[in-house]
Amino acid sequence: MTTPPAPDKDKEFIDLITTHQGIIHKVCSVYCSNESDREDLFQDILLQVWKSFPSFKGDSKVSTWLYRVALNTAISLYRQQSRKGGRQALSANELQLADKPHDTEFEERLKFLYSAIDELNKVEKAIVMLYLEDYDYKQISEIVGITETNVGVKLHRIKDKLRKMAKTQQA
Amino acid sequence: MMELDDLKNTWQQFSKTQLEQHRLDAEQIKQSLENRTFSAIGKIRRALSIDMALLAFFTLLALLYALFYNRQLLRLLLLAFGFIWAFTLFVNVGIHLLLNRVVNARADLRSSLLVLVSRLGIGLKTAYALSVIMPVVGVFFGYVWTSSHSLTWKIALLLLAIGLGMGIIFYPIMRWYTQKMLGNHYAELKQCLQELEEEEATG
Repeated sequence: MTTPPAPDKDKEFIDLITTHQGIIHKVCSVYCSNESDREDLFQDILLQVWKSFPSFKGDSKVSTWLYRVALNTAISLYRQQSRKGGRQALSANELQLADKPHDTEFEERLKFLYSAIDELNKVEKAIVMLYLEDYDYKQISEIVGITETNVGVKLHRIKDKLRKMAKTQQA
Repeated sequence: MMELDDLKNTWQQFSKTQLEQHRLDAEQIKQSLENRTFSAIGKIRRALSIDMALLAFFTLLALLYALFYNRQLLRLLLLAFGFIWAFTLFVNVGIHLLLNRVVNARADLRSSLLVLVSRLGIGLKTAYALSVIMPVVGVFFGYVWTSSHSLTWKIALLLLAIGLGMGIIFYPIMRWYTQKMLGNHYAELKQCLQELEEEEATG
């Protein structure tokens, strides 16, 4: 059984979430198609981070550890939902672009990116997300739990898929 | 043709925008909680002023009555109202200092609000307890101060019963008055603190 953090660790935990909340939001946006699911996943990730927090010894960077917990939670939830057939793929139409000043090219690229992510499986989603975040192969392999070679192979396939998608879109 | 590496910039730009939006939402919520807190503080200050005005009115009324119709009572009333004024001033100054602390500590509103809510809570419970205890003490010492008869056990018990009876009658009135004056604003501050803690916890 996981022991929750001691009361004196509360502030440390809140500071961590406040500083790195962007990571959790990004994972939620990649794995969930609508606002309600994103909120649910956000809460699930928070709970898992809270449970794992006492065992975090600082061996890796906070962001690396947080990505690992958040992605593992998202992947396991995605798997459960997929079995039930409840979770839908991310739809580019549901992206919130209202807050961004109107930039058609930016919106097009973003829609393309998210629709491409939709086509990927749960592990590929995690890999591509970390790659877009500028993580190197070694870091990605540590977070996702596969070898560096495997990361390279999967990224190569993802890039191929993307090229094909771009070609189809152009055609 | 769009390559994955070309999309890195788009992704990072969008992530940044989203994060700013989340931060903005959190800021707006914090601002609204700050406004609600300061509004409740303003209402507490107004309630304290009304409380002082009411006390001044009743003091004047009681002293005028004693002065014109019952001079024997004047000494006792001066003493009783002296205590009440000293106590009220002490409490009010304390509350004003706590309120000022919250207003001056906007950067760490949660901590100062936590102290204010905790002390106001203790203060309200003390006020309820005092509303029962004070009539007993008042009746007892009033008798000792004014009566020419010596205090016997029988009289002491009788005074205790009268004091308690007055306390039981006075308690709901005091509770209603305190609730009307401070209770609702205290509840609002407590709610603000709870929401502020939730907001800070979820980031």
